[in-house]
Amino acid sequence: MTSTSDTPVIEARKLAKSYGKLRALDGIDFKVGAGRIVGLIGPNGAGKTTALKAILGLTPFEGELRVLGRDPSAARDALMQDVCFIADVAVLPRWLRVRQALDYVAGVHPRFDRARAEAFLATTDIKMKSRVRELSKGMVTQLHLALVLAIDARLLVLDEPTLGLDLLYRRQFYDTLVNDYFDKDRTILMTTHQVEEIENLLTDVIFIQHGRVVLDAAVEDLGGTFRQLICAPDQMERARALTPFYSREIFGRTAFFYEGRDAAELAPLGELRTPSIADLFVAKMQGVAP
Amino acid sequence: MKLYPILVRREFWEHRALWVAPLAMAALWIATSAFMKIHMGNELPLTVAQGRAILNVVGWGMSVATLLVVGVVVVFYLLDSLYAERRDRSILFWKSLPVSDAATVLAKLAVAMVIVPLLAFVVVAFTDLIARALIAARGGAGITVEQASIWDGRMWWQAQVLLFIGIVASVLWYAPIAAYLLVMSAWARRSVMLWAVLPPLVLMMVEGMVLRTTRVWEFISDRLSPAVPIMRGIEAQLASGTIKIDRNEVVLPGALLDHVDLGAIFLNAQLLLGLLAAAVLVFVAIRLRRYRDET
Repeated sequence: MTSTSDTPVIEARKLAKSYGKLRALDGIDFKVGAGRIVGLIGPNGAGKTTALKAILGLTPFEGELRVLGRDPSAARDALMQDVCFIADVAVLPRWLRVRQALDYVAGVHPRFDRARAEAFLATTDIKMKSRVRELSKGMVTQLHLALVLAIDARLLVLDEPTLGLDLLYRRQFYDTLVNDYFDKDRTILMTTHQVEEIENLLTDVIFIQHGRVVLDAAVEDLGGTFRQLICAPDQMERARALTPFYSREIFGRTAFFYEGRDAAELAPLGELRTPSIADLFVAKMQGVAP
Repeated sequence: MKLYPILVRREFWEHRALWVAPLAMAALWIATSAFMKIHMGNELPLTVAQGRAILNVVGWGMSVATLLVVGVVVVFYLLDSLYAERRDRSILFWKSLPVSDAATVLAKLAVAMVIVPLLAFVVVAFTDLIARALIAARGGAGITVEQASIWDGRMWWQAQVLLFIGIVASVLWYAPIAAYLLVMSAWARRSVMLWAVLPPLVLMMVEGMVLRTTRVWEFISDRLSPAVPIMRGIEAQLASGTIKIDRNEVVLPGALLDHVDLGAIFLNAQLLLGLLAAAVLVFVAIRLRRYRDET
C-alpha cells in the first residue's frame, strides 16, 4: 500500500444534505489524504456528524462523495470492510458480554485479529464474562477501542469518541490510538468538542460552521498563515489597521488574530505567537459572521 | 453464507426467551409426567388401547401448548428485533461492521421462522419420548407399563410427522404477519406493539363506519386463526365425509395423517399470495433499516 498517498481516502465535492428547511451541509468540498489524522471541528449543529454519516453511508446526500474510491451510499457493505467507526461511548448493547463481542466481530469481520484485541483487554480491568451493562463508561470505551484496534482498517472515523469520559480515560484513549494503531497506511477522521486534547495529534484540521467549511488546512501550515499578536498597549491603533479577523482580551491585554500577514509586519507591535488550534477555532467561529 | 451462524447466535444471546421458553415448557412437561396421576374413576383398569390413546392425546396437547408458547415468544421477538438496537442506540455499532442490512434482517427472519420452530419441534419430540418413558417407568399411575409403551412406534411417528407438517404450514401461513411485525419493528419510534396493532384496527373501524362491512376483520381473523393452515388439508374431506368422526371414540391426531392433503395445504392461492406479501414486506424492512436515520 505505497500508492495510497496520491489518491485521497475521502473526497467530497458539493456535498450537501438538508433536513427539511435546515441546510445541514451546504455543498462542501474537502479531501482527506492517506496517513493523516484529521480533526473535523465545529460548534454543535455545524454539520460534523452529518458529514461523518454521509461518509459512512448512513444517510443519503447530494453531491459527490468518494470514500476509498467507493460511493458510500451505494457500496456501504463493501466499504465497511475497510472503514471502522466509533459513534460515541454509549453505543455497545448493554446485554452483550465481552466474550460475545469478540466472537461476533471475529465472526463477521475478515480483518479482525482476535489475539490483538484480547491482548489489549488483558491490560485493562475488563473481564471476558462481563456484560457491557456491568462496565463503567470508560471501560466500555476501552472495549470498543479494543475491537476497533484489532481491525485492520484503512479509515477510522471517530465521532466524539471520548464524550463523558474522565481525563485519565481520554488521555489513554488518544495515546493508544496514536501509539498502537496509527501508521502511514491508516487515516483517522475525528470530531470532538475537546479540541485542546487532540490538537497535538492532528495533522490536518477542517473547521465547519453552518454547513460550510471555514478552514481546511494542514496543521504544519497554520503557523505560516495564522498569527496571534499579544499587542503592546501603545500599538493598538497600528495593530487594528492591519485588519485582524478576531480579537480577544487576555489578562488585560489584547490578542489580535491575523490571517496571511507577514511576521516582520507584526513583530514590532507586540509579542507574536502561532495560535493554538483551540484559539484559532474560537477566533474563526466568532470572527465569521453567521 | 458463513456469516449466518454468528448472526443467529447473536440473536439467541440477546433474546434468551427464544431458547428458554421451549426448554421451560419441556421441563414443566417432564415434571408433570413424573408426578401426574390420571384418575379414570370406575373405569379402571384401562385397556391397552385406551391407555395409549390417552398418552397420545396428552402428548399432542403438550406439544401444541409448547408450540403456542413459542409462537407468542416469536411474536415478541419479531416486534423487538429491529427496534431494540435503535432504542439502546447500539445500531451504529452493528452498522460499523461489514454486515449488510439484508443479511441482518434475513437472519432475524430465519431465527423466527426456521431456527426457533425447528428447535421447538425437536424439543417437543424429545420431551414427548422422555415423558412417555417416565410414565412407563412409574407404571402404577393408572397406566401400566404396557399401555405407556413408547414402542407404539407408528402412531408416535404419525403424530410427529403431522406436527411437523403443521409447523411448516403455520410458518408459511404466518410469514406475512412475521414480515409485517419486522416492518413495524424497523419503523416505529416507540411502542412497537401499539403501532403494529393500530393500522388494522383503524382500517376495521373506518370500514365499519363507512361501508358497514367487516371484510378487514374477516381477512385478518382468517389469517390469524391457528387452525387454518392445517385444517385446509382436511376440511374438504370432513365436508365430503371421507373422514368420519365417531363421537364415542377418541380420534388420535396421528390417525389424521392419512387424510392430510399436502397439495391443499401448500399449494393454495392464499398461502402463496401471503408469501408474496411477506417477500415485499421483508424488502421494506430491509430498506427501513438501511435508511432510517434518527440518531
